[in-house]
Amino acid sequence: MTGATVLIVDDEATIRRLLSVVVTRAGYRSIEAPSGSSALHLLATARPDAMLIDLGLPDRDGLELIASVRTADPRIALIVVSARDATAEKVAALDLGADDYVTKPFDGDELLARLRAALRRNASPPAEAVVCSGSVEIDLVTRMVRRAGSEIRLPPKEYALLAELARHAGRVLTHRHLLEAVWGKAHGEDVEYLRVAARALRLKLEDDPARPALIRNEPGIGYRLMLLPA
Amino acid sequence: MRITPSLVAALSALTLIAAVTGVGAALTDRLEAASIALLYLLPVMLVSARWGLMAGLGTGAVSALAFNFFLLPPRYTLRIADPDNLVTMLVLFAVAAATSQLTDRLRRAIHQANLTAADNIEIAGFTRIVAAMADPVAVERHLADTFAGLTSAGVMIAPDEDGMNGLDRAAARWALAHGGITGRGTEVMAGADHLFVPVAGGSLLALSAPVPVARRPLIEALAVQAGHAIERIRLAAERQEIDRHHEREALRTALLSSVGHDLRSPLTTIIGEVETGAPEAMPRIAVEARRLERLIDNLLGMARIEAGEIRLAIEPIDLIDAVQAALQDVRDVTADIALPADLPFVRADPQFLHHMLVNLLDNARKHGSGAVSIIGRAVDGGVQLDIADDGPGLPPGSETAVFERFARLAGSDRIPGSGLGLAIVRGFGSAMGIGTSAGNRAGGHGAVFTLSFPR
Repeated sequence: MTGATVLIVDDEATIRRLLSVVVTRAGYRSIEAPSGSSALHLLATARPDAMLIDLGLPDRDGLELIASVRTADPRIALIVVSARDATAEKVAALDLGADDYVTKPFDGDELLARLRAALRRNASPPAEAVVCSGSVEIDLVTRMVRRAGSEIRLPPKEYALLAELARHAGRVLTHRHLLEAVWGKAHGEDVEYLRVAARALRLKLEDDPARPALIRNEPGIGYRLMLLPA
Repeated sequence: MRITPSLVAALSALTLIAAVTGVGAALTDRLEAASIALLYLLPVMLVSARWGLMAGLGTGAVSALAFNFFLLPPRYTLRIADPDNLVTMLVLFAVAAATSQLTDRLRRAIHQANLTAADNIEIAGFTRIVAAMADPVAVERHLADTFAGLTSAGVMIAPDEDGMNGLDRAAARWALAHGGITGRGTEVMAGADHLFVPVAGGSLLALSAPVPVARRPLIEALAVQAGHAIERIRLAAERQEIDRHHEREALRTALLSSVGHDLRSPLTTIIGEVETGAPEAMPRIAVEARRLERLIDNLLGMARIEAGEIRLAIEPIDLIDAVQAALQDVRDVTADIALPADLPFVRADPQFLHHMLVNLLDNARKHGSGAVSIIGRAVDGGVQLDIADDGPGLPPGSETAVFERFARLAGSDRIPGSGLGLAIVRGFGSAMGIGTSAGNRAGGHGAVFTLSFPR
């Protein structure tokens, strides 16, 4: 979605400039806001397609801002830029509706990959029916999973987990999100279910289950289905 | 007539003397007077052993008289005809006196020994209990309880002077100033309402009842023991404070020199490379910048350990996930991974475990070629994870020292590092109950660091 407008929200001018360089080089248009209130103002007036938000803003709680942005615009791609050790804050931001996060100091390529994945979620028509990553194909309509062309039969929970990850391919999904989507609301804390199912999926789908490349864990946050080249 | 101990003693002595005199009378035909005289030592010894010196001397005197009156010729008079018999009688009295004195001393010694043994048991028990205490207030309270048990007096710790009468106040002050038992029933200000026992290095105890003289040495000994215990606690606390101060000082000094160096060298590279403006310098700049980033993470980690600010969010973790995530963060490592697909999950805080693994991988990378073996196995007590490098290995005896802060091992001076990484591994590990140990590869080059996760 080249040409999309990205709103950069950070109180530090040097970080805004750096982010702006990264996104404009990739073909996006960038606008900047140094505070939460100016961000909300620009959200209403400039109608950006994506937002990069630093949670440590001087005038407003970052999580509160995420919630109000999500309420004002359910479709905008929302990416949090956060400090390394703020795991709980990242999880809270994701549960409040942020699409993804990058950790400061961030890697430009990684940031752009996250941005692309988040923008794709909002692209219409809705996400493709077949998700391909590396040698794995997931058909979300026929519920067929193939690895290197041969069909892999999965138990319902494992398929449900894989499908949920595939529907949001490239984006991190929190433990809570996955547990509630696959096992139901009552199991939001049962991380062990998730670990067991993720390990089973890897044994069946990864080229080297000891070096998972397809289903990537983010410590303390969640899982991400990586979009690998074929 | 009241039966008093002295009456019993007198009657016993007279009975014994009468018995000996009777026996002596029966033997006068067959034995010398001097031999019969010796028989009287028997009542002297028995009486002095039972009732003391004075009773013994009395018995000796009466024995001498009885011997003279009933047995020495002329009998039934107090006259003595033969000078030899005079000597015998005097010797009898002298021996009786000496015997009763010796016997009395023996009696006292036995009595004293009995009292001291009981007291010693009391004192030893008390000392053992207060030796384990870490709070002077607890020691004083235990002393007060012990006094209350021994004397059935009410015991007050650190009595308030304002509530005392004049004599009590004076006695309390005297006790504190002179360090001895004062007040009610003692030699000093006996008229006070309370008995005051000072505790060295502590405060004062006030007893509401007098203490028998015989109990006072015990009371005093217990107060001295309590004083020793309080002094020991105070010294230990002082020592700990000094140690902590020294440690903080050492930490600060080491931090300044080590971090000063470690921050400056990547910065020097970055500034220099940037100023050349050469595009091919970019990867080198990135490497140095990552080094800086890790150093800052470690500084923050150490600050958290120092401040005791580790809040854990423990969850089940697949070590395959954890290792993969750590390898993402430490590039330029080629890992040989042996993690069984059925390795049990471990319980840890994912973020702290991640930091530990990053530090171990970074350490392995710095000390070897970058080829790292990662081996996981289920063991009896849980799960073990080895991270092994192909470097020179650890010098013998440094297996523990390597986890100390700023423990840059001899010979590793040219390898960059702050000496914080492994200390953080140990600090975070111990916060999560994860064991950390180091050694060398069996039959090969390189060091092995092992994390032991409990079941």
